[in-house]
Amino acid sequence: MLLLTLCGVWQIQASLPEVTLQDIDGNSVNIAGLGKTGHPVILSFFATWCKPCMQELEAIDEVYPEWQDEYGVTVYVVSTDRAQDAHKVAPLVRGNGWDFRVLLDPNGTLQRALNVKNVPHLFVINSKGEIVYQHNAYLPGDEEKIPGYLQ
Amino acid sequence: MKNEKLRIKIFIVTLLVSLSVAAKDTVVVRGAIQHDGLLDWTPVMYHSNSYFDLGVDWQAEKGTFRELRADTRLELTQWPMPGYEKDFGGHGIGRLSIAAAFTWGEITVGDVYGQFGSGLILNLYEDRAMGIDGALRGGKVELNPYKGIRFTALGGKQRRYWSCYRDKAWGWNYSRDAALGADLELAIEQWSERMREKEMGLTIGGSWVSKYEAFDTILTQIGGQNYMYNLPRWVGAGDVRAQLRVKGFELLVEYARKANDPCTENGFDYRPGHAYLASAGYSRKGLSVLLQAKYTDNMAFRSERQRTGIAGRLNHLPAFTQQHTYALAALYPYATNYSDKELAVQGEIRYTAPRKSKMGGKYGTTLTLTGSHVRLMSEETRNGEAYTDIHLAMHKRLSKDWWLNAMVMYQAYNELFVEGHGGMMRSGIAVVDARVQVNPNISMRGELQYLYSPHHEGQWCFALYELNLYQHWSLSGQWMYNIGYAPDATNEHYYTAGLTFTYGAHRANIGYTKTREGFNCSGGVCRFVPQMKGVCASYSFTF
Repeated sequence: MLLLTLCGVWQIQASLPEVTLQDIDGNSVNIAGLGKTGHPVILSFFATWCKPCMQELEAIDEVYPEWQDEYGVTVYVVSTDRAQDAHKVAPLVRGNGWDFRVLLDPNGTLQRALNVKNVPHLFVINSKGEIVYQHNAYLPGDEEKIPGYLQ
Repeated sequence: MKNEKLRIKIFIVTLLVSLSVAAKDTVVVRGAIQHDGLLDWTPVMYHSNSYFDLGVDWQAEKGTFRELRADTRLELTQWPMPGYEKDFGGHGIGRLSIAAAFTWGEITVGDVYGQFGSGLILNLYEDRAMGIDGALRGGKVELNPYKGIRFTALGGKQRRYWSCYRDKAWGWNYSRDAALGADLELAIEQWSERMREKEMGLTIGGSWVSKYEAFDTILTQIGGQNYMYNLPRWVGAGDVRAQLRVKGFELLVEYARKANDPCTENGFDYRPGHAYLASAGYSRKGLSVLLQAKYTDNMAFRSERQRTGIAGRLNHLPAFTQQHTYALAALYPYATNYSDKELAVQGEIRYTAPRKSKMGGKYGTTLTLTGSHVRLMSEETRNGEAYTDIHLAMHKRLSKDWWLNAMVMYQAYNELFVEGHGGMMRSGIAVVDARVQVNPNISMRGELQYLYSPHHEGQWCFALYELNLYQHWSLSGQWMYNIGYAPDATNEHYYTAGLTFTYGAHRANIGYTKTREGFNCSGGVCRFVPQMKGVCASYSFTF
């Protein structure tokens, strides 16, 4: 009975870490708080020099309006560019016409907390704040797996 | 007997009540496995870099407390992959830290990373592909006491491969060297409703870093006589910056100064170091313009004065040029000269013609024009051109199933300034990269690249083919050949063929490779690879 109680009290589940990043407008964004909005969230790690990242973001951009209407999802793209390269992020995202929320992680704080080693790396967080899917690398068609985890 | 049973019941009820109070707590176990290997048969040897990361997070809302994170990393790099420095090889615990996060900030004990401003005086980071881990073993405090105020203080002994474990103090011995620093950043618009209404942002910041190193007896000869350098034990550096954002416009100015820091890298130069950085840009949906300039003079800043090479840098000055990932465009990359006087400018214009417009076509077209120019201005280099590139790229979706990228580029690379030998090399590069979605489960990608130059190794060509099946499998092959017709032509062939399998957060790759050092983009990722030849295998998994 004690063991059953213990299993119910301590829940091993993947959730977002308590890390705060800045977006490209200088606003602070608490990452753990993104999982408490009651809506699904996609976190996509990228770098300005990463071609597969650009392919993935372009593919998601094509279907983003449809996902927003159907699932209420918000896509946050997290730049892993360091030092002076971080200033290239806003021009790249806006210049490509993408509507994603852009976060800057030049210190690698969120990357280390989520063990992101290579980009692109994408996480899907459901409306309960649980990480329900992640993939590393991008092959064409990977974006089609995502809606199944947004419901 | 009756009393004994009662005591047991009271104990169980108390335990259950205590545990149920903690019912809102969450424990998260995170980790990652990464392995890269190469079977070389001249001589027969298996080289590998393996990393095992493990972290445990306890998340709970108790007053201002939010989370406790413990992280560790086991590294097995005793016989590392080719291309790493001699001291890189080793094995052991590469990272150990415990962090407590509160609503007002975070406290970390153990290995800490961080960046102040644009990294001109402090940028501690990990880059496994390059073999860099600049963590300080000590502690860090980050405070957000009020909206718009961010304060960071950190200190410790910098990791330089496995050297900090030699004295068996597990890297906590500060008697030989240590570094500490603090950074304060104020987001003024957080205190002004008027500024926020006008979509304005103003951030001002200042940092200070000081490093300590015990005295070394280092001699120099002048006129046949031996003299001992009077080396400073403490060396300080400061940085100030301001960043203004008004709707789509952004302006950053930053200045950093480093005190006298004679070291091997700058030839024991006692002059202070300076860095100036300016960045101006405008961006809105579909259009962005960016212009940046940087001047640095003697800004090498290391935790160990006699160290050279990759490890031991406290700051980070990446090459102030476009980072290219097409193989021939990245064949001659520029690397920042930390000890010289370097002036660099770079700019970018990006325009996305909207869908169904005359220029955009049915699906839209993105055009990008970038340029960068670097000059070295010391007495030896005399304002000489070190690097230039001008690059025009187009990205277009031609139809429902076809995508096209095309790029032309001019590059000037001063081999003497960057590598210490050779001369100026000028080249023209052209790239065509096309992708087709054959059906929902099959796609193919092909690349053709050509580099023309009458200098150094001369002309090159490159071809790549990639077949992607059922969103899990990727088969790729690439070939690069030095056509030559130049003084240093090698006429070498380089080739890689591989099979990649991805499933969620798992990625496995096996293949055969003979590569030059450079960027490799295949199987869904871009990675820096060292020069190597043999059967290669890699696996990564994140949980």
